[in-house]
Amino acid sequence: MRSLLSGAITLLKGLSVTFRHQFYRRATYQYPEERAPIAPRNRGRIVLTRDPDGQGRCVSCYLCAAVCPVDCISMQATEDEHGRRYPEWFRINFSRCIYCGFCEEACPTYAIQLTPDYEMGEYDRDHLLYEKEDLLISGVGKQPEYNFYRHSGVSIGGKAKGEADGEKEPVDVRSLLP
Amino acid sequence: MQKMPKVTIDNETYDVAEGRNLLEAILDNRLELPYFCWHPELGSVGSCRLCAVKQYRDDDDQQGRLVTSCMTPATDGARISICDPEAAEFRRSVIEWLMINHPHDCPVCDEGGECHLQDMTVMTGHAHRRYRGRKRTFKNQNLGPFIHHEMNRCIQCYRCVRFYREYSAGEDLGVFASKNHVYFGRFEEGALELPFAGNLAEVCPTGVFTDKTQHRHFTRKWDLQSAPSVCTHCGLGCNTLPASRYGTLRRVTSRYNSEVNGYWLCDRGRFGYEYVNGADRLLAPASVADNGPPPSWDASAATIAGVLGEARARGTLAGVGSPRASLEANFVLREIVGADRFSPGLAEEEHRIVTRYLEFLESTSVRCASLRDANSVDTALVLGADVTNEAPLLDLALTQACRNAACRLTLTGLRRGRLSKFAADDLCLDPDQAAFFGAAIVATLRGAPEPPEALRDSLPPGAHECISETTAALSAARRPLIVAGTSARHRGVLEAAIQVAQSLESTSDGGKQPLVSLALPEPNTLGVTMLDGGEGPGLEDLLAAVESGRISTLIVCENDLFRRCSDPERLASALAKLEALIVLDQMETATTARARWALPVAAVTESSGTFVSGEGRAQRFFQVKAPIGESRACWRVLRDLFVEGRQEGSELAREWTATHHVSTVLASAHTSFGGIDEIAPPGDFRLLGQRIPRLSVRSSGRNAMPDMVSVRQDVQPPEDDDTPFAFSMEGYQGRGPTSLLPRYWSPGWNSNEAINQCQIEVGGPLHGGDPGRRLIEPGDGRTGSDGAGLQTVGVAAVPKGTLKAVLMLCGLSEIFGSEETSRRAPAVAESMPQAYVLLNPDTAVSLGVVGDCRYGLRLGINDKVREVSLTVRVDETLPLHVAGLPAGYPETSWWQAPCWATVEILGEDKQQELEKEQP
Ligand code: SF4
Ligand code: SF4
Ligand code: SF4
Ligand code: SF4
Ligand code: FES
Repeated sequence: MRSLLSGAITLLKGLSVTFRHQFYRRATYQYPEERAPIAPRNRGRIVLTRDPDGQGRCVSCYLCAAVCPVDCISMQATEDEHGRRYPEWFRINFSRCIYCGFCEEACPTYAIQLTPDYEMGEYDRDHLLYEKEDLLISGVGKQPEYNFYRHSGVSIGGKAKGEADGEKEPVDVRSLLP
Repeated sequence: MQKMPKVTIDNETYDVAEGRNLLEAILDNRLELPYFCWHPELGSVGSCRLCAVKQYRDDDDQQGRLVTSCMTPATDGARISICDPEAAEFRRSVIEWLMINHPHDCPVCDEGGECHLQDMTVMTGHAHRRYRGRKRTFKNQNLGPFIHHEMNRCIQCYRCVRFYREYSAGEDLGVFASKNHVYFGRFEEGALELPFAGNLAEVCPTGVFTDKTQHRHFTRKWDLQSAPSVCTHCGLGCNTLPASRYGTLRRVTSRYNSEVNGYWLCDRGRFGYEYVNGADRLLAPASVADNGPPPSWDASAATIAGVLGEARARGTLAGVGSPRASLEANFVLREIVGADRFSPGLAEEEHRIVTRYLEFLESTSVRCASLRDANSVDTALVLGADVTNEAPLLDLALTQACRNAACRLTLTGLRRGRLSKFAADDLCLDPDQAAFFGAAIVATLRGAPEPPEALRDSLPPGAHECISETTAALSAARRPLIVAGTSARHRGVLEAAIQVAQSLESTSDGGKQPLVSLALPEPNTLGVTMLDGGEGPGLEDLLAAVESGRISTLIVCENDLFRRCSDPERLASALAKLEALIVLDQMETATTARARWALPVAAVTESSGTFVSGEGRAQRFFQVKAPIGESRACWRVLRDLFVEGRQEGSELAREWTATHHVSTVLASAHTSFGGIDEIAPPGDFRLLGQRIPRLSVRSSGRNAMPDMVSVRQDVQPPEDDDTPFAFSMEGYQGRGPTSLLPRYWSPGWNSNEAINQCQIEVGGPLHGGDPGRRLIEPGDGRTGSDGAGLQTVGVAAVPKGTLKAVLMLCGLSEIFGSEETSRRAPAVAESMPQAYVLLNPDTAVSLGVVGDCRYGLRLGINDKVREVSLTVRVDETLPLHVAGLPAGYPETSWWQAPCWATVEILGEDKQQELEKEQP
């Protein structure tokens, strides 16, 4: 008898919660008409950014490819005639990417960045292969100031030896001065 | 047995070999201690201080003091501590100081990922640069097509100059300026002159010196797919580790073998690899007859097998093997055509020389020198060879002999060269004279009071003293080495070398080990000659048979006959007479251009097999990457033809599905190849049931490769029956046998210094023995020939007449240019001289020509006249009566053996005309 009573009370309690929720604000978004607010650091579609001078930031160091747990990044490094290294081609297979963000963390130049865009549905899986043209955006993304080649010691077009930040004039090897 | 010194390291006691320093003692025992400047071959200089450890006076000493372990001998009873906090902090500080000026370059530095500095930084625990001052910078130099220079990254370990100047006796790289401005480079910008400069990329622990050819298609070490291989660019058989990525070869580094090349490679071996990626590779079977679509493999195989079968039945079939094809390929070809129809494919004179050499080695107790042997000889006589250009690493070995063992060196090459600075005697002799010189030494060794007059008269003044001095040195020596070459193409020289060695052997009191070495131009020259065993026809005989119509079908395996034959016009018309010419080759050659069927075969780095080096060492090479286009391993193509032809014995060939099947058959069929099936584990060798991965665990990008047709990735890595390796990063992750090491890596050691972890004792043999096996060991009871055969094969007598313009045409080997495949690699092509004729300046004056200009020349050889346009170069060390021509150049391929020629200079318009006609 007692257990019957307590059973009925619990049931009513539960039903009352359900009933009350009729008057709450709806949690479901009517996607795609309505969209949930996404935090800017949410990890979605990957982009390659440019440095403040407008040049591609990626120096094709292969670190993102090496760290990627699903091995979905590949590239080939090349160099322009002044010694600036960049990827000849760069490819991410988004059908494998798990959006872990390791690549962004490994990148020494802030080139590769994850964006909050998660809308990558495709009818054809082959369309999930993104090439450099698809990845490269025209902005700086996060870390807007950073320019790797301003810090690195290699000379590139427009920056000779000794002209990077925090560098001295090149040593004059033939000088006899102390 | 002597008691080994005992050293206590961090309270554990270890046995140490005699004469080691503390650093070596630590590394020998597989303990870890950072270091920079010490190198097993270059020794210790104590310039980096990174190897500091605490040393205690005795058991009671609690204080200890810091010592640089590479400069402190490991004496019995020494007590040291690696982990001592003060020592560890000191080592961390050393790195911190270095990092004050080190550029922020790792992402764009070619060394990154295999950088000893990165490894040591991690090992010592330095992480943050606290110094906020500005960094010192340097300007770089353009050091030529092989080596990239980025001086900012230097840590002043001095390894580069120690290797370049001390170890290799190079002169044009040095250290400049002082204090923290020291600069490692050339006095002025320009290509490095040392033919071993590529090793700088390996000895430099940072990214200052890196491989410029790799730079152009850069790949990190962790992404490279590699397998052990053998260098194909000369006959020394240096061990290599070629590496590929995305289907193209990316670099070659040295593979340690204490018996052969040690840590080193020459620049031809290191940078000649790019021919494999060349645009002139054959990609698909081609047939001149059909103008339609290219024939498929199966269709071609069936047709060709039919043609071969028919010719065999008529007795008109012959085959030409190759010194640059594997033993397995040559063997299968020989099975198809029959032993008496198989020509080893060497140039006529070269064939005779190598056959004679082999015959000598098999009958004597003189030892055929390994490169390690050559490192420690005390007297060396080089007869008519140019060691630097013909057998580059033998030059480096002799340099060591001269540096360490104070070896007495006698040179008798055509011109002076790199080794001349060590030579006690350096005569510039033509091959005839070199043979006379050798013969005179033999006569003196055999007790003749004076060399015969006939010999003496033909030698230049001054040679007489050299003969007696060299003879005295040779008789007194414990380890004398006699070196001859093949590029002189002169049997007399070899005969003289053999007889000198034999006389030394027979007059020896037992404590003497005479050594011989013959510089061979191609990786399997000795192997194919051993296989032939003197049974098959030489090229001349073959050519005659083709001309007379006795041979009408010729199958040529990886051989460009135009490089071997002294009369290209005759060869061309003979080939045109053939009913069918079938050529299997890796790349387009003058021979494939004339083929009825040209079949593409895999390069050495794309297939597996066995080479026998000039030392008689059989070594296995393993496939590194998939063959380009539709090409297939040469032996496989031949096997298919063999099986398809259904001839006698071919049923067995059905079972040959992997390289080691062929090696096993070969080992049992020929006694001289006994044991070659055991030199490396067979293709079905597994460790814990697994293959050995060609790729590192860190290898990246397998889900986004460029050759991926679809993201579904339904393509599996290719099957590989030939090797125990997998085209994958999956497989056995421990360290397999040392003959199967696809890369050097050890936890914490990403650079090639990881090799220290694979040696029994650092700088010594590898665990499990160095790969390869010597097939020819000196026998005890052998007697050798008694010198009756010492007939000096002279170059046919000087034609009488206007002597001034009569010159002896001699071949000069060029390290960059003379070898067939490497000269197709862009970096090597950039370094090789233009086709030339080399004259003594006085000769040039008498001919009325000046150096470094192009001239039209009319050469009268015997009764033939040949007109060529060549650049005249002068060298005052060349004998007056000699005109040197570069060996292995298509422009001078008609030169095959020394000969006298009348030389006439043509007018300018004639020269222009010739220029247009030339290849
Ligand atoms: S987010 Fe993760 S899985 Fe995706 S590419 Fe980057 S590292 Fe690879
Ligand atoms: S880690 Fe950054 S710089 Fe390096 S290859 Fe990837 S995106 Fe380019
Ligand atoms: S030398 Fe080594 S530490 Fe220096 S930039 Fe290159 S990879 Fe980095
Ligand atoms: S260039 Fe390389 S090898 Fe030479 S001192 Fe500098 S770091 Fe050492
Ligand atoms: S390795 Fe000992 S001081 Fe450099």
